[in-house]
Amino acid sequence: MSEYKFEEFNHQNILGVVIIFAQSVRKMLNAYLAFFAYSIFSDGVGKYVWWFFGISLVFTAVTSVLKYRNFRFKLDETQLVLNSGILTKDVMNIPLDRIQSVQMHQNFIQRILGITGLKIDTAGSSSEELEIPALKRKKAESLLELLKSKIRNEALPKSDERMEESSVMLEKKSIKETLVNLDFKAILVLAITENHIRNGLIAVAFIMGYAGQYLDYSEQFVVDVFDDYAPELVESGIALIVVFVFTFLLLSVLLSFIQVILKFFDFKAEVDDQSFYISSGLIKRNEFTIPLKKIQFLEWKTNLLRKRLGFESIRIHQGRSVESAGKNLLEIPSCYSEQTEKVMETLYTELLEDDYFFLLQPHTYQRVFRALVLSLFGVPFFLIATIATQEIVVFSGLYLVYVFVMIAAAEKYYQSINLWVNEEVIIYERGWLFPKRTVVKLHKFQTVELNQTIFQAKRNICHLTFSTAAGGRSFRFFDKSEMEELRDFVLYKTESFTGKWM
Amino acid sequence: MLLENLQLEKSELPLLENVDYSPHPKDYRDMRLLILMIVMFLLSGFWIMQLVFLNMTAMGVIFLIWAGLLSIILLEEIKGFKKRGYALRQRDITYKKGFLIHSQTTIPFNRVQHCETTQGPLSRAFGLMSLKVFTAGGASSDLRISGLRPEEANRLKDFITEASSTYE
Repeated sequence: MSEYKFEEFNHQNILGVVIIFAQSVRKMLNAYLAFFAYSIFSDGVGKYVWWFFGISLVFTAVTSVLKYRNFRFKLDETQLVLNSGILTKDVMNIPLDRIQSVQMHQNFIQRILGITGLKIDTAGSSSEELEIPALKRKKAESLLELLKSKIRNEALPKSDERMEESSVMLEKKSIKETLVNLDFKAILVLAITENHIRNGLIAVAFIMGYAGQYLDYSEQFVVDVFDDYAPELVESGIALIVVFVFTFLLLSVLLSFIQVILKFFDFKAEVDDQSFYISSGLIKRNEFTIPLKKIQFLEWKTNLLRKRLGFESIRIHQGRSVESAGKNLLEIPSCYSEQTEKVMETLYTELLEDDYFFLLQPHTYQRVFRALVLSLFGVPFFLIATIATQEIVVFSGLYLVYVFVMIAAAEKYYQSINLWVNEEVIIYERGWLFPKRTVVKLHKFQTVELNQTIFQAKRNICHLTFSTAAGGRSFRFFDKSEMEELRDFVLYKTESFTGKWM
Repeated sequence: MLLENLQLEKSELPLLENVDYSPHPKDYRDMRLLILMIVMFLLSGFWIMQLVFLNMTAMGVIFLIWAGLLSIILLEEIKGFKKRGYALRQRDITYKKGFLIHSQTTIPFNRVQHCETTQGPLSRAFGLMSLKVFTAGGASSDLRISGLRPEEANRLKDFITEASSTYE
């Protein structure tokens, strides 16, 4: 192991040039594929494509050598440093404790050349870039060993904590408790109360997008048919609209049923003091275990109908890297108040009593702005309708009614916004037709951003955006001094938090 | 787990408003203006091309819109440059920017995944460097501070890397 010095900057094995070249050529081939296909069918162009390809190949060869020359890495006590770039000089420092896993891998070419790549997985966003593609096997092994031992050393001081935790676990002896268990009737209720119109519109958009490809072929046919039947169609226009709307609604409802039954058939959610356990699905059965610590935030959603029936759904947001790995947004579709209470009790130790650190409402300007935006949304529609029908009075009147409805809606929405903060969590509640409630632990935040336009500066309003590893939420149109105070509080809480957070 | 986490009064919070922000070197403004000029030049070629197809009234309208946009961007660049700056505290870094839309972004060091400094050809000509601070949440929650002197950028990078690696 001592034969390699990783404290100083190392180059890769010289065969790395070949590896880098092969990688680049593969990418290039993808880009050229369409051109090649084209050149087969049109003999005039083919020659040029090959010329370009040849030039690109030479260019790639040169850049591969440069890439190899400029790629260096070293490993010191606390971090791994990667230098790279041809025109730009990139220096990447990866603290060892941010490394989630290290793995050796070999593709076909690497295997032929007897060379190993080392992939380093951090929780960061640009994880694919963190790769040392070409090392001799022995060197890769010793670097891997060294990395592993150093990572272990870094983790060592925490062993006390871990032991303590496990002993606590033994004492408490966690029992899985069933949280939600949906029978068929519950699933039907769920399906009936879906937002059918939204589901229908999504389906329509999907079909339109798909059919769009074949539109050119079918257009002529449709035009012919339409010309033949136009008079009858105009006469029965209203009937047609009614039939269309009815069909749309029917299909949407049907779609909701199919979706819900496929997704939530035999849904079961259990919880103990470590994890959520969720299993569901009719054809494709999914089972998930979500460690409570990995949860970034929860969001309760409902609609007017479901609220009347007394249940909400919970969306569980985990870190992006987990979500992109196919474990999509997890959902507990039906939670009544006692189940919500159970979840809150499990996740949040500090009981949600009256002693909130903050209890905020947005600035009254919020509803003015919202009413304005909503009113402006209607303008194009009413303008087109007016021009098309020449009925200025009717549509001006209708627009006025629309504006009043929007003002009322904005007022309703404004009333529904609440922001609570206690020593442990932020609860952000908003929405009137579709109420939502987001609950985030304070220490889950990793970026805090305060935004203010110059128009808001006079009114002393601002937006505050918090981002977690699973995305963020914005608190819009709040009083600036209150938001500054909240930001300082959250930063203090995050920065003084010493436990594991991801 | 003995976690010291005492109840806190609002008045005891460390305030971010009171910190001093370090400005960028003037070169950074010049570089931004140069980039803006290049972009404008390229785009103006595009609208001169339109001259062939459009009549004078339409040209006038387009020109007015163009001038309006340009003046807003210039206002933002020149006024906004004074608003740019970063501030380091013991446990976090804050970057503020923007005149028309002002924003202050803060990242605590214990949420930093890794740090990177980059230098493109243009910024090398101006003797500048950018610093990128990555968090776990993806691009939307990362922080990028362009237009720093290389030694300053590297010092910042080392400081943040050091500070972030002292946490678990």
